[in-house]
Amino acid sequence: MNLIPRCILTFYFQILHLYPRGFREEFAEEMKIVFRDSVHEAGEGGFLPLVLLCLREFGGLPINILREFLHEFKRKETVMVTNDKLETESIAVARASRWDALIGALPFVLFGFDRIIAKLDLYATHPYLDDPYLDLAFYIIVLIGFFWGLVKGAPRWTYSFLGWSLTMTWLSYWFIGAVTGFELTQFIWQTWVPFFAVIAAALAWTRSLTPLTQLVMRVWQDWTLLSLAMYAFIGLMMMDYDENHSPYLIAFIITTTVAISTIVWAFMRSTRALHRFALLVAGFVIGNAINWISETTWDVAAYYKLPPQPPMPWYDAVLDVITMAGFWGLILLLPALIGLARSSVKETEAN
Amino acid sequence: MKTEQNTPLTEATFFILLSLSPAPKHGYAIMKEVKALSNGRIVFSTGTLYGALRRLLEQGWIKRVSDPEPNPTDRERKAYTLTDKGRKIVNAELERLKSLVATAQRQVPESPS
Repeated sequence: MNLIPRCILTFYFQILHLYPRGFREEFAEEMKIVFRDSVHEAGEGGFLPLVLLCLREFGGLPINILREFLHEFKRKETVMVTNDKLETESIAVARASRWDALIGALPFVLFGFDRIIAKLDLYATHPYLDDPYLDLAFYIIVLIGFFWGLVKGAPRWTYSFLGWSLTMTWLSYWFIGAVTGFELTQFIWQTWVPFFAVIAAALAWTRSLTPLTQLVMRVWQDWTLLSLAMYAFIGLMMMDYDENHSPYLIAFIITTTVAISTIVWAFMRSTRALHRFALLVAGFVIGNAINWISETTWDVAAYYKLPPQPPMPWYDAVLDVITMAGFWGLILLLPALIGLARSSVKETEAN
Repeated sequence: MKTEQNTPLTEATFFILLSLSPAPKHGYAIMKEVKALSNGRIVFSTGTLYGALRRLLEQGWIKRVSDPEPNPTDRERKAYTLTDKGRKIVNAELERLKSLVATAQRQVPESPS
């Protein structure tokens, strides 16, 4: 066989990798044989039939690949609805292993470390231990975790990394701008490129839509996973201790990190949806309370050389905690409400 | 599901099923047979053919069998044949087409020769 048909065959065999995995595993070998026979026959007719064959085969390829992906997606959607029916009949979901629970809590622990190192102000001697570099390193870690979770079929810990990836993407204009020297503004689309690139990489890695469908399917089966993802933002607020100059700051960050991470660990190990939700709300209340206690250990006015402020009555402080917990608790509750609404609609349909 | 509910078939599906009607065939033979049956109007690309075969397999209209003309160099070559369900579908489609043609012939006067 001469060079041109051989090149065409090699190119075609590579292009077959773009098909969804299921289709590829079932048909790729046969397609190679059929295409090889077609090229062989066209080659005997001369150059023009070969060109026409290539136009037909390669011209239709994008549509064919897209159609197979859509077909795969529809098939999985059917499986998703069937699984959902089974899921609603069971009270509990499988308990995550200790290892999986640990992975789920890992980003929360790492963010705590990030904050501790940042607050130690080591940047004078170690410039790379400054805030923006630490945040960038943390961002890269959570994106890798999110990628790996997608590739592994979205186990429960993926939502912890999803939440942190979204939270850090939202903040990335700041630390990427500081590290690179670019003046980035908040809410520009470019900051979302790494996040979507991770999703695209996972799709390319698995050569299927499975990572995305699994990600949606798991939320469809267990709405508290969405609450876990949103909990990352709560974690950021609780563990950041921005503008907090308490003499016991490091101790407070450690305490909050342990509390929040333990809650996530327990969430991962819990089998009941209501318990998982209650754990997240409890974590928020505990974190908020530790933050409030930390604020009482230093004098804001003295630190910033402001005129003396009247002390805040204890009941006002408690009211603050309750208001904040109520506000964010409601946001955490939102996926639960969606889940409840969904169950109600399904019950109505069943009747 | 009743057989009639699966008709009318698309032209491509009909020709694939028709090509498998006499005997099992492998992919390349199906492509050539469809081209011949349609007088060169329908020429499948490999991707289109296997997309269609996949759906026909899932619907249970065709199934895989060992290649009736095995080629020792092709380890993975498989042949396809009609299932009973697929054969019923083809027959139902043929009946539908015959009925259409009969109706049309009754309605449209023969052109003078």
